[in-house]
Amino acid sequence: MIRRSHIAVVERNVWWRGDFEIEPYEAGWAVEAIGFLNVLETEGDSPGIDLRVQISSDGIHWADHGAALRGSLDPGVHFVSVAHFGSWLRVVGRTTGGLKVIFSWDLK
Amino acid sequence: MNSHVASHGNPALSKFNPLPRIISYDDFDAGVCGWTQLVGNYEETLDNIRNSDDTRAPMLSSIPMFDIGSHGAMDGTYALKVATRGQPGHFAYAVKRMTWQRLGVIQLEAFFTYTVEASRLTLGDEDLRAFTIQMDLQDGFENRGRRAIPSIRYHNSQDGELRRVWQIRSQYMRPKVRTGPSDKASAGSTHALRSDEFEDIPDGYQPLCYNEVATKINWHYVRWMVDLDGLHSLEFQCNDRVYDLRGFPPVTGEAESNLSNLLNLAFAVEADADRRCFFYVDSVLLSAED
Repeated sequence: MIRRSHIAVVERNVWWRGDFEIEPYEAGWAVEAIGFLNVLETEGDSPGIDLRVQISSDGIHWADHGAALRGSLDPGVHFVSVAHFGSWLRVVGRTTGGLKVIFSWDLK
Repeated sequence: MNSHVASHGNPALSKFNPLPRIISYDDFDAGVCGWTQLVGNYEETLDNIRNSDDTRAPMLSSIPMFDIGSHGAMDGTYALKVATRGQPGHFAYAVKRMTWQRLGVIQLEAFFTYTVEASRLTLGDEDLRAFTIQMDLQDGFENRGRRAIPSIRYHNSQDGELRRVWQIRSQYMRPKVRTGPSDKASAGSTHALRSDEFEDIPDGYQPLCYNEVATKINWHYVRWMVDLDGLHSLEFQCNDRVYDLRGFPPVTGEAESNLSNLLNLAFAVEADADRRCFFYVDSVLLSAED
């Protein structure tokens, strides 16, 4: 059987300003994930971001996984890789400026 | 009209009652089978996607619950899950896009279940407003065709009051608003799920088994027969109840130039409270007459 993969866009053309939290995504069938953050526009010069991947067994109660994306972002594609995440994924975090983003999970 | 010939010798199909020609059979242990999130039309900029088109990406779910673990699908491990945000009025919508080969009778069958997020230790049966089974059809193009979006909606609750009534879409409220200069896409409310677009099916009150805590689910069967020649519903069945829909006139609108032979299937779920609402299907079968 050829390996299965799936891409789920979970945020589309939205502004992240300050605290953000994306909707949970269930992907227990997958063993690895890349969270792609496509920054379409920014407000201010190279806004800072502290993005943390969180995992959950039930989609309700969450713990930090350890994977994170931190730094100053310009428009373009950024990513965070995750393995051994169980069944549920989400990201939470904070920006110091405005980021207009598409966020997707690339799963396989 | 129905035939069991196609299902003989196949336990996965024998629980269905398909028409002779099976067009698609979606068992979600093999992937999402083409079911994807709806996105509103746009042109040149994503900014003219309507805010209401936040329809969420469907998931392959083992239906995990905090108190028992994976509830599991009807067959195998995974079901397709459509999940709202935890916001009253938010709706999530998954669509499968195809085209038809002949203007005849088609039939959609599925096993489904629904519940709310167990983020509170309450049943939450009144927190899910509705779920909808929908087709998006076009029988021709431009001035030689009509568009129709027949829809069957289970109006479970409204503002916290249980209704549990099957409804049919009786109005087509699509404004012809173009998304950009090319005149090739509309930013209309084709898939709108507004309560005022639906009317109750006579004797459509059907309390479904929702079970007694939010982490227990039961699967239900639906069968919906639609005639593409005329773009209207013929019959709808849920479990032991069969509703004759032949008396409802087709609800159609102007055809689009790029949607010839359109045959889309969709499932949607709407929240009535600040609690995520989940709709699951496993599996889905579309069949047609010969």
